[in-house]
Amino acid sequence: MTDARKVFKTINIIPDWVNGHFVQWQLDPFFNGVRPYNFSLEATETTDFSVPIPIKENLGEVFYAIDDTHMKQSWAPNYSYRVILRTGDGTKYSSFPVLFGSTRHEQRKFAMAAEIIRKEILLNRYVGTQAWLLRRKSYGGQNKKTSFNIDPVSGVPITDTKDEDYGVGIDEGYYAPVPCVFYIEQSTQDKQMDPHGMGVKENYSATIRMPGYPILEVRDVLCEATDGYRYSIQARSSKQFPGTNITLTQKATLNLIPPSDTIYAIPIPIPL
Amino acid sequence: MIDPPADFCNSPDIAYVSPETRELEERDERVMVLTPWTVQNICYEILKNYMTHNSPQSQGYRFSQKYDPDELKTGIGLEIAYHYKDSVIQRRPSIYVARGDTSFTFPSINQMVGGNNRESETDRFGMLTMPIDISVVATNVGFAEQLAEYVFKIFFRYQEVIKNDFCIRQFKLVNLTAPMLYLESKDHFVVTVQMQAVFDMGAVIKGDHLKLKTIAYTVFTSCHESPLLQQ
Repeated sequence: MTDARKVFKTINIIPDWVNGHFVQWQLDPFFNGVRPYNFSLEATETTDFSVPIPIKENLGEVFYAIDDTHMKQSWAPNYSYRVILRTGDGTKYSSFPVLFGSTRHEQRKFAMAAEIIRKEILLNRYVGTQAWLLRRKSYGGQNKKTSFNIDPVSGVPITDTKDEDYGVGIDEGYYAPVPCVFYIEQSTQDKQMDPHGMGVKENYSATIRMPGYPILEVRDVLCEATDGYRYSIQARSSKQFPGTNITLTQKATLNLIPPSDTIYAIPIPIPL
Repeated sequence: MIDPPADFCNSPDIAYVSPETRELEERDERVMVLTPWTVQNICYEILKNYMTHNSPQSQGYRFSQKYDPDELKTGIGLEIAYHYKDSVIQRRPSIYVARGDTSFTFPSINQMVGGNNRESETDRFGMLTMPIDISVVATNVGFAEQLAEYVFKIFFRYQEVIKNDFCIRQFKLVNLTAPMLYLESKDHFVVTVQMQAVFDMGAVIKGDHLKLKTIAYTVFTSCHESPLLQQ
């Protein structure tokens, strides 16, 4: 497989909320594919581009594309772009993914950040808990089943049905589980009667820390691999390498989801 | 008087005698004493029966959760409010039946509505006005609204029948609250179906000290028959 770094030299994203986000790229000068070139632009919410969203296709021989779909509506780092190059002989080259809003970093800073991240991963390997991240979909289609689960007029989800859209209103509701590791810094547990009479309110809140990958987003679900706990991410903060937007560590506040919730029906791989 | 058996106090057949059970024993078997607790339970029972026999799907709703009287199997929780349970997990979505502050009204003078002087009975009477809140907790606002609609539909259709069947003076839907965010874990919302019940509570007070005594006269004639003995 061709190393993407030997094909694409740089990819830059310049956010433009009015006209569309501007994505431009530069090929490595030593790359010599069969002409003509045909570029495409894809986006994704998953970390591995398992569910790519086509933004622009068959652009031809250009060096930029404008994402005027207006699907990316926030600064949240949950959206990556990549450029696809199809050469004249039919070979397909995919660029490395570029996070929305990221800028070019100095090589030295990048190397230092990489070392810090390595140590963070090492720390998590010894004290952390294996888990799976279920990323909530914010983009996607509605098949026949899902279309019944949303209000036909307002588009608001009106169900919370397992094996369908889990109350999200988009097919399957969540992306395939992504492995991750985290450790709990602090937790509180509280089980008492709700003062308004709404049964026994069981709160289990935890503050966790994890490496910068995969990026967490509020309302994603973190599933402990062995203990079975599933948490909703309520708040998130990240520590970035000074002068860059490389995420070194992330902290998040999690709340335990009641075991009767439909989210527990999503299967996650069982660790060996 | 017949002495009670030796194990009278420990007999399992004799239930604890509360004011309600005593009144129930004394009255016709089919008559229920209306108290705030029993009226709240009427709502709970109606809801339970309705949801057991009328699944949301049969009522035209899309959501897949349905109620089962077996609390270990049910997809929708139904509870009396403030009932602490450790035996089952916290259920979402859930429905909670609660009563609100109850006010008493006494429309007659000295609470009297009648009596029976011969039996030394006085009939006391009061009216109770009680709100009943049925709170629906569910994730995502659309689902909470749908579930609340499923719940209030039974009362909307049959509030008049319920009123007549249970001899409740007034039984009606009053309000459906706006959805409120209920911070728990995921985004849960609460929609409350507010109802009002006005019902009568009566009491018959029996007192043996007021029973009308039989009047009799005794005529003493002995002094006239033998006057000298009285000197």
